[in-house]
Amino acid sequence: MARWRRTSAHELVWRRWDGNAAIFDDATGDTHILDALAGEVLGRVNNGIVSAESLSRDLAADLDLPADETFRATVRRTLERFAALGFVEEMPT
Amino acid sequence: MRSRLSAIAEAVATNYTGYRVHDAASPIVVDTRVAIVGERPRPFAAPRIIARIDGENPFPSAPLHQAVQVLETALNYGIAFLNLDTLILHASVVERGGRALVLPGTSGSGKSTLAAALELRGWRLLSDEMAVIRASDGAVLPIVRPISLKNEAIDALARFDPGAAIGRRHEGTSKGIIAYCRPTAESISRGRETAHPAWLVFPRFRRGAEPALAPLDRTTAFGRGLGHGVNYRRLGAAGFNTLADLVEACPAYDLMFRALDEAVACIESLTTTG
Amino acid sequence: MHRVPDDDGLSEAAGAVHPLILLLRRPEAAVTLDAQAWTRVLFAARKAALLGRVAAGIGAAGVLDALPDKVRSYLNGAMIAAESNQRALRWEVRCLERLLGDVGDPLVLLKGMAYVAANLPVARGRRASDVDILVARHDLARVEATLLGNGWAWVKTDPYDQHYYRDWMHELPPLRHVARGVVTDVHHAILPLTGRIRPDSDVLLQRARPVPGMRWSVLAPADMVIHSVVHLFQDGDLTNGLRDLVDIDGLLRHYGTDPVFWSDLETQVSRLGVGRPWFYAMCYARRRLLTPIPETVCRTTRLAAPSWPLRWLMDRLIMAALAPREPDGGRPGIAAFALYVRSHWLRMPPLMLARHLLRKARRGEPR
Repeated sequence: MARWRRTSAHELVWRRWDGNAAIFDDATGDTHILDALAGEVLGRVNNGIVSAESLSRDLAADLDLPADETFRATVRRTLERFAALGFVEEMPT
Repeated sequence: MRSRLSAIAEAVATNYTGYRVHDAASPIVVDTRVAIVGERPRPFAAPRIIARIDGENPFPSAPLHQAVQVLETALNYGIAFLNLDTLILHASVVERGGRALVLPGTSGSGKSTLAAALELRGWRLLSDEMAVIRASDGAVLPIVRPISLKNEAIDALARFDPGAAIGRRHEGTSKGIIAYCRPTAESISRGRETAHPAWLVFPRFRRGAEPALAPLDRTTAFGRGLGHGVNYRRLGAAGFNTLADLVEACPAYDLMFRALDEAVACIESLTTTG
Repeated sequence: MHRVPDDDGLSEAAGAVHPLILLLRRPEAAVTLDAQAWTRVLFAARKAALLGRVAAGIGAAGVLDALPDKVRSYLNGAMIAAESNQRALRWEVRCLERLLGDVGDPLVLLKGMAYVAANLPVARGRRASDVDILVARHDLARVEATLLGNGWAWVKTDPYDQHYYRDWMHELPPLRHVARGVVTDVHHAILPLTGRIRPDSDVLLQRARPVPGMRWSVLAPADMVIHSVVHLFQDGDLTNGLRDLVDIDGLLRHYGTDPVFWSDLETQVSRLGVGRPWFYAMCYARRRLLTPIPETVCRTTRLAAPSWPLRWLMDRLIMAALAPREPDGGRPGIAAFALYVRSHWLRMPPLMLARHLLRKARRGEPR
């Protein structure tokens, strides 16, 4: 099962507002605005290694949403977007 | 500032009445040097003018009758590229009771006209074009200069208050008709007093629209602010934190308006209750 | 022999030294400057891309808080701008590293980014416009193809420019990353192919030192100084002349505490055949910035001095080019152009030179 972790390359400055967040990437100088789901996904990977499965399950439970395939796909896509930005990476199995 | 052109001399004399000319005997640290000089592209061709800012010519030359616009643009450019430890947003700023109202907006949003109208109702002008926000404490630094009014905004302000000190109309500029409204004596004399932002209002002039003030959440306000940043990227984390502090310190609103008196009424209701 | 004084700094107190030069020599003197002097410093330092360096020096001297608000705000602004400039270039270097890690060996960072990667004091507050890297000649084609296949494109697509770089220069035509906008100059030597002095790149590559935690190396200290010296006094890029001299001064002050450095420098200067540019660098670093250089090194270096008519002419030209700009002064004209012609003379046979300058002139470029 795919497990994800944060990378050390990017130092991120966070501001969280009513569930949403803005982050500043000190490596690139880019600013990103995250909706509640993206903010939660990034925040939880930053706090420790997680599998995409358990992340989807926990998030769905906390946000009171069904952990169906659509939701799991959204979480995976979000992880991949953060991976493309270099914030997180999939661990080699 | 230096120029031998009579158009510049006249504009400075009318638009900058009430300003103190700095005494050469007590020197200050000069920020930037702006010269408006004439040139003839070819012998016998019509003379043109060009702005020289700290020895460089960043803009192409313009016809002589655009002298005033060239001067004001050059001053804006000079300020935007000073590279201080300040975040600069495209915004007008006015202040009352020590609390500043920041009005970010693009050209045509009506921010300058609204700032001029508020100034005529007792607010103090800090800036009509750029909000210069100090990164260390979030205070807005004043740059009190003539307010530039374009096209129908000129008449709109004159109708709103016939006492507005609107100067000569310059026709045929790249932005249509431009006129400059001189800031009030109070704004000029308090031109060194900073103020802390208390409200963030994004004005939008739209013909025929019912006036409406809609609250914005912080993330949206932050995103909007980013869009109006002049030097945001150059400041790195300091820019991010300054803008984030701004949206945390100020409730933010969208203001749609079709007439100045309605817009001023919206602002008054917002700033006297909250 | 005409003797150029080694030190023009004796009359500092009389105000004969430009306040910018004064701050570069002794940042703690910032507390003595008045408004007029600050106006001159801010203007000249901005024009010479040195305000960040000045700010870093004043910060390190601990006198920033004693300065007027406005001045402090400018100095902080210059530090912030330098940080954000270095952030963008550091990121570019990481992107290049990811891509070229298996393509070139060694991969050497030059100039500004080398100072940043090696964490040298001279990097503090310094701004650079692009990333300069050095690769072995046999890796050049693969490096070029890799960059072109991964988002980099030529800045100049004019066939003449392409031809000029490829046949005569020591670097590829500049490449810019399409999305990030940062320009990378890929060098395979530190001086042009056609010039009279051609330091052997293999020597430099062999002596390069790996940067801990990176795939990059930087030049050995003596070679780093020599590269900066030939860039300024042989390659003829005097647009940032004073900034480059400040780099040389900073490198010499940093590495010069190690006696081994000076003997290595003397060996490398003679091995690479760069006695003449090093002579100029030594003279002007001492005169302008009071760079401490051991007397024995000065004696050896003077053996490479040019004959007096040339030396007198060069002295006039170089001092003019290294002079800080004044707010009311005009643009630097003749001196900079004369040096540009000279530098082209040094790197191209005369006929080629005429052709190159003529083409540049026709296309209406300053150079």
